[in-house]
Amino acid sequence: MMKTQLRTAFIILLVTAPLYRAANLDAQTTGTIIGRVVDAESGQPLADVEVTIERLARFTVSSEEGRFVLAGIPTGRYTVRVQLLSYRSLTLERVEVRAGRRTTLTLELNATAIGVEPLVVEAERFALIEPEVGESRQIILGRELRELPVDITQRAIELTPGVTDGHFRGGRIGQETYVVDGLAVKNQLEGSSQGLGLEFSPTALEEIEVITGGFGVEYGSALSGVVNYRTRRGDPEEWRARARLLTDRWAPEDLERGFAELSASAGGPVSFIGSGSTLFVDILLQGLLDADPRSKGLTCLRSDQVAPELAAEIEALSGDPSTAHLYCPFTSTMIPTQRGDRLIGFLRLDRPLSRHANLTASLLRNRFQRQLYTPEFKYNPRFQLGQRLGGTLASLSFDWSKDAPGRAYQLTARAAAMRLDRELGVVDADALDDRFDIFGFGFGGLELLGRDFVRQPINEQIRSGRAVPGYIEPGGSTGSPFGPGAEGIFFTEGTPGIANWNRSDLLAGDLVGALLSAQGHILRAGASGRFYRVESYQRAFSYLPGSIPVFARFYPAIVAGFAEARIATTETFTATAGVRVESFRSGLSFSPDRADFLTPTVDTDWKLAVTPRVGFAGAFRNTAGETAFRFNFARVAQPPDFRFFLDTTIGDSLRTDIRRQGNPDLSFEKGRAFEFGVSHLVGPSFGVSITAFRKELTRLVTGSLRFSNLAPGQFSTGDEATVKGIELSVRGRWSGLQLRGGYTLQEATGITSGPFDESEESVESGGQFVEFPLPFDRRHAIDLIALAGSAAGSQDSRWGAALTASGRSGFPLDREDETITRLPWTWLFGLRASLQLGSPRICGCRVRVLADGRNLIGRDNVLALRRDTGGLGPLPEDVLGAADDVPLAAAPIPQESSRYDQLADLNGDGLIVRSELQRVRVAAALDRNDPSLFFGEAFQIRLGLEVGF
Amino acid sequence: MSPSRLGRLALIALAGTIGCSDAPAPFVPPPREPPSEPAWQLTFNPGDDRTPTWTRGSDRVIYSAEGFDGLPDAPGVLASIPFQGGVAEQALINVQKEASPTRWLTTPSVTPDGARLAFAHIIFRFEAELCGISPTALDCGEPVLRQPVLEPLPRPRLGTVALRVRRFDTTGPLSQDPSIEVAFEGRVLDGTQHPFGLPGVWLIDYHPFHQVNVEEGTLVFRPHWSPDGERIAFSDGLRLLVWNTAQGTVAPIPGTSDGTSPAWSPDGESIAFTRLERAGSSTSMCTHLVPSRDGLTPACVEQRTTYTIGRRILSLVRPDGSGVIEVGEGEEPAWAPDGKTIFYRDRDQIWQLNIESGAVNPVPRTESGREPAVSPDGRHLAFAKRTSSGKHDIWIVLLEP
Repeated sequence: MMKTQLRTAFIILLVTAPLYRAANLDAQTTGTIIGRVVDAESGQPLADVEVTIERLARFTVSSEEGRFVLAGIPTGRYTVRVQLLSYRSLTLERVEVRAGRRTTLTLELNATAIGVEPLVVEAERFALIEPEVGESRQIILGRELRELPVDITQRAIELTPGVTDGHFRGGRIGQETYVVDGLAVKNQLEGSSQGLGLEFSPTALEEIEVITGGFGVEYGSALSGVVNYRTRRGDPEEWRARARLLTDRWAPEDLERGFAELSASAGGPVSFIGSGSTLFVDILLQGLLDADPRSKGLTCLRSDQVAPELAAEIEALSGDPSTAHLYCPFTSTMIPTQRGDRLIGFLRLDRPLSRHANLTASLLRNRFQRQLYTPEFKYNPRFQLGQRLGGTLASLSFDWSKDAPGRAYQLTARAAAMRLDRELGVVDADALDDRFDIFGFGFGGLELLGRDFVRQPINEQIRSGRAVPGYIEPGGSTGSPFGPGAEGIFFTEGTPGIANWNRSDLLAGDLVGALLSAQGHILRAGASGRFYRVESYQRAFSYLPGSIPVFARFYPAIVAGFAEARIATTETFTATAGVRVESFRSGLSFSPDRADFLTPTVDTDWKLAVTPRVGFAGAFRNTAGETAFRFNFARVAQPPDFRFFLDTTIGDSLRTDIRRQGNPDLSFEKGRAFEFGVSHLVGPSFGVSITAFRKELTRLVTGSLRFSNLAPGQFSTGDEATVKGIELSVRGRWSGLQLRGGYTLQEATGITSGPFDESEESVESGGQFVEFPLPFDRRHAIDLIALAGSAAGSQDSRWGAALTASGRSGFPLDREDETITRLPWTWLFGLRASLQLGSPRICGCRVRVLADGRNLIGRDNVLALRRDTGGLGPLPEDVLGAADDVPLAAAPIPQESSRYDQLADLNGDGLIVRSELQRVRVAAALDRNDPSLFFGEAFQIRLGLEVGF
Repeated sequence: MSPSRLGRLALIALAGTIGCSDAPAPFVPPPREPPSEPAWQLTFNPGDDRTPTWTRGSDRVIYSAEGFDGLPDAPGVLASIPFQGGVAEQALINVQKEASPTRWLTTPSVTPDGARLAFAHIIFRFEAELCGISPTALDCGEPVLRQPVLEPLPRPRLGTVALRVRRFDTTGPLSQDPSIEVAFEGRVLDGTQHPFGLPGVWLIDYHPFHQVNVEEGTLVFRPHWSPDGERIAFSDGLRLLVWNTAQGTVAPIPGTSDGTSPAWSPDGESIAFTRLERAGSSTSMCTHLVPSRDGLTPACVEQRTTYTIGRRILSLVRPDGSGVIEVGEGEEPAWAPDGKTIFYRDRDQIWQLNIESGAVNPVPRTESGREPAVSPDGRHLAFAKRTSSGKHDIWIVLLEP
């Protein structure tokens, strides 16, 4: 019986994982159905079989080999009808087509008229191994994103093997590119410190694909990785919506971190625009009382964290009743000056223009604003540093396809406009207090002092000779726990001096054509252009009248072309070869040495990079596709971050002052990468993959003084780095449980630690520069995602759970001395548990209760240590030396003095004398070195409700 | 419990708890507690805080501070401080800045309407040394030769003082304010004599007011407003005078010889002052010698008359000089606003005298006190209290009704 059914029914082999290069060989807003039809009795291919997608009225016919391909299909679930005269027609329901993916069907038609039920064909969205895929990639599905305990998508990306702290396979931040629905949008101005600069709400994405090796030639501007965002499309058949409220504002004080989130999304058909049109809208609002919660909150140094001399000082301070109040005078679960909020809005509209043409428009809007905790302004009651990040991305994509027997043609045109704004300055305290907010989310922007002034034409600013309005020279100590002992250590009056802003406008366009054969061959070629308008303003001493800001406005451009061919020699082996030609220019004229006014001005010219890439992937023979290999080699190149074209007065930490001279004549950063991987299906539910890789990066940007052939401190592309390692990833799938995990062992070495390396010592040995471990070189990284119950897609379970775990070995403390230990391991566990409550009578909706935990084991992960001491504490002389700052002839401070504070009057006689001042200053210096920001994410528990319609 | 009921409860719990908290508050230092004792120390300056007076609202005390925030070397800064304690600030605008750190302002007196401040600006003081250099030996007196004498005799220091009047809200230069100059007698070079070929002979009159000034720091000239706010009584050390600020005239008050530290009564009918009684005098000649290649060489010659102080007599006089009454021993008088009580110093204690009854009582908790000043509301007394270092701080004492 069973056998008969199998023979007479339609045997469906479902392989929905994308074939090699599928991610970049297909248009990103549409998908492809490819297949083969044979006679069920004879196994002979059937020609002229009509394959129809009913809702789209799209159809094609099979070739002589029985093969067919339908390209350019909008994402969604479709009913596919297969028919041939004298054969029984076949209806396939719920055939899922995913953006940039290929749904492959092998069908057998039977001439015997046996009634059968329509078959349901679903994409296997959780592939255990992917024999056809030649690249190292991880896919996080939208369903997973919606279940994972993450607030922003960047956290989800961090859970994929090969990505740690924004570094992709040991590369620097910014060596990755981001692709949104097929269009690469890189933050070219500050990607080296800020990443993309745009965020998606986890609920706005269909999936995230993270590629850490072997990415295709279509992706330029990347040395180490690609993040592929595929956004959600509205359901073409019915409206669906959900809303979620998640917060810890209910928690007792020692647990609360001031988080509140409202997330909502809705999508569905909008037929009045056009048949088949859909709309999807998503919004995420987060109100943050502490925008960067750390595990110890606002803390202070303990005696076991510092050198013995300081430990003795701490013991003396805390043990003496007259000074006990000076030790740890201000601690808090939340860091008090880090209020902020985040807004992410997304809208996507899909409209079929014809049976073969689709138009997709989307709009992404980001706003992230927050105060920035700076220890020296900890006790300033009014003024704190703040940051505003704003970004808008509008994109338009046009897909056209044409189907023919055995092949399809596809043309994709995309255009996008992006604006990224970053502002760093002093928050207007009055405006902050007066603004209207709900649960910490402010509807208005965070006002920064002098914002209008610093946006004026630069010549007007210089001519006026004014300080930035509102800025005041920092000083004062009254109001701190140390009174006059805090002078020069804390600033209770005045403002920080920084007023910076950047604006980066991008106009991007891509035109890509593809020829797809039903055999799986693909020929693909395209061209792209990126045209920027960049403005950068930096003023370090804004309170100082006459101080000169550093400003630049320029118009860089990047153009590229690529061609790539994928040859499917057998069902399970593919070879890919491609080449990319890319060119950029900075658009700046400059004097190579600003210190020498006789140096002639130079116009930068176009830089060129040609990067070929090849790859092979397939299954080993006689393994029934259960054991697969992949190999790829690529030369990679990317234009340097535009910020290195400019003189830089503020370092990448935003809180330091590192000066480097910009160099608009920088060339491409380049590299080459190899990798070889093997995958094996251990059983029906478990797959394992191991990949060895090596990446050699050259011509990296550096500002190190070690490279002395240029003007001192000038950026150059003289650095080199090497990353080698092994990645092991596992995937498991059982009933009601999904598991994915990874372990990475890698070594990342380089000559300098980054563009702002301050070391002046030469490390030249035998005429060669020597590479040492990079400061972000984590040797070991472990990631785990486990989904259970409804979180794993189980329809039967009301319960769901999503567990995340990540372990990282620590950074090297001293690059050049291997004997010095690394930082301790960090471990983070997150869990989101949910319970479906059914449909309350008050609405016809589904209600879920959520409990969301971060850093569940409450581990105090140390993210950084001081390089000068190797610990959390400062050098003893730096703290104890604060006492020496008090002049011998310092006048005692009487009670009526504005400098007086009873907290510093240790004997309470109304007079602060020198010896008291010295003691208090040591306490203040200890407090100034509070290690709050050295620790990682805080333990958090949130509760929430989600309502689905 | 059914899931739907659980959900409703969760909804209610969320709604009830969300938004109950706010961002953590910034650090707030503990507030100063207002004084609860009947007497409290108002200033703690290691320098000399002197001559307190009150603002019209009785809420602040204005005094002269030796050394101040940002002006550590200033000999006298007019400061204003809440009478309950707190941060002192400069009483006048644009008068004492870092550019003029040595400007010495003292003896403030607030007009009855509270808008202006009279004070003394010490323009010139003589050096302690007579010859401008420190002699190693002295040859003083006739016919006995005393040498070496290592401790030089004290000499007059007061030279010239400007009395000024300035509105509290004025920001212009000090030179634009009404002022008069007071030159103090007692130190002059007689250029008609040229012993040892020197340019002259110093004629020194060490008057009683010089003595209290040098030895006790008493600022005898102390200006004090009349109740009508037009006249200022002051002393040039030898007598009381009245400066009519409206008319710009200065006139001595007869019968007030050796009168110092005047205080105008609230009704304007009487002026209390201190008369420094002269108990006797002695005259001597001194030749000051300095080392030279030839041994000791005369540097200057001094003809000195020293007047010893007898009693310090608390006296009353009408503004026209009539009706002088010697009340008894005491100095540095201050009127209570009722016009019936005078607070004054006698040696190391502040006393209060009821004029009508003649009763005299020490003011509790004013030991080592001087320069009393009663608040306009009559509830508090400010005074300068000597510290162990010989300097003074300002104290406040609550006056019993």
